[in-house]
Amino acid sequence: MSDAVIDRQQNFHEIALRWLPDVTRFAQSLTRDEPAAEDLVQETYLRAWRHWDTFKPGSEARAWLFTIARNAWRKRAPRDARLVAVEDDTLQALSDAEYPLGASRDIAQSLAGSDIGPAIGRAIDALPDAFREVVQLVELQELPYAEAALVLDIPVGTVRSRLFRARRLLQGALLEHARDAGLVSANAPEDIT
Amino acid sequence: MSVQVTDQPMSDEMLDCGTAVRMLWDYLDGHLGAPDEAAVRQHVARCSHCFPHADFARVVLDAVAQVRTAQPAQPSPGLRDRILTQLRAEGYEGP
Repeated sequence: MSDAVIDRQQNFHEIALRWLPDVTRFAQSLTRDEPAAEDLVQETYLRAWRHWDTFKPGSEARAWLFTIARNAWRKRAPRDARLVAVEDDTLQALSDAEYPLGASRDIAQSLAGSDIGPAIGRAIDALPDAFREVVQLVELQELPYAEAALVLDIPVGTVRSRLFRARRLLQGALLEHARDAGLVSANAPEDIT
Repeated sequence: MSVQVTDQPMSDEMLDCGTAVRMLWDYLDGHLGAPDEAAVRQHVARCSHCFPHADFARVVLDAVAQVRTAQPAQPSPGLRDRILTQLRAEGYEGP
């Protein structure tokens, strides 16, 4: 085996395979189905290996792998489950409609002593695709806005605005959780602009 | 946290409530420059209207952080093995 081939293999191991846990979590977020996520991860790494020569050394391998995974998912997903392009004014209307701030002045204190991790996890899973993938990349994978923008093929400003709207939706879900749990009044006024 | 807040929403020359709320996420993410960061921090600390907003926003960010740290650290061993088997069929001979 030539040195170049050995280097190629070693680089793939050190640079691409090290991100397997992150790629798996991203695939789980896309598919919301464990077997489908594992299939997608396999396909992602197969495509990555086949196209490894196109990877630019020094660039962000994780974002490159996420892009491959997302493109593979878009091609294989059933039409009704596929990530669809959504106009941002539509997304804004959706998040504005559920804007919850001010519903209770004591909401933070009411939630402080309760275990809200599972509730927020369910709320993230329930977000519309365009919001969920931004939350997954920026909040859970801790990608900088610029790298998330590359993966999603949208402007950095759109990443930021979708993230903030997603957080508002999550606030709405937490408020509903607090009401259901009797932590705040179901009739708390909504007073925010 | 113990903070002295006013009884009414604030609207001063430096920052009004609407602006403070719009800047809140950037503020909490640490993405504001020093002057804006100071303006939002001072506004939130003194404003009865905005203080609960900031508190609730922090709760959401803390909850998301809980989800982040609770994520499984590694995929199943079976998945890694299947990937390596598939790659080796394509010429990969690495570890």
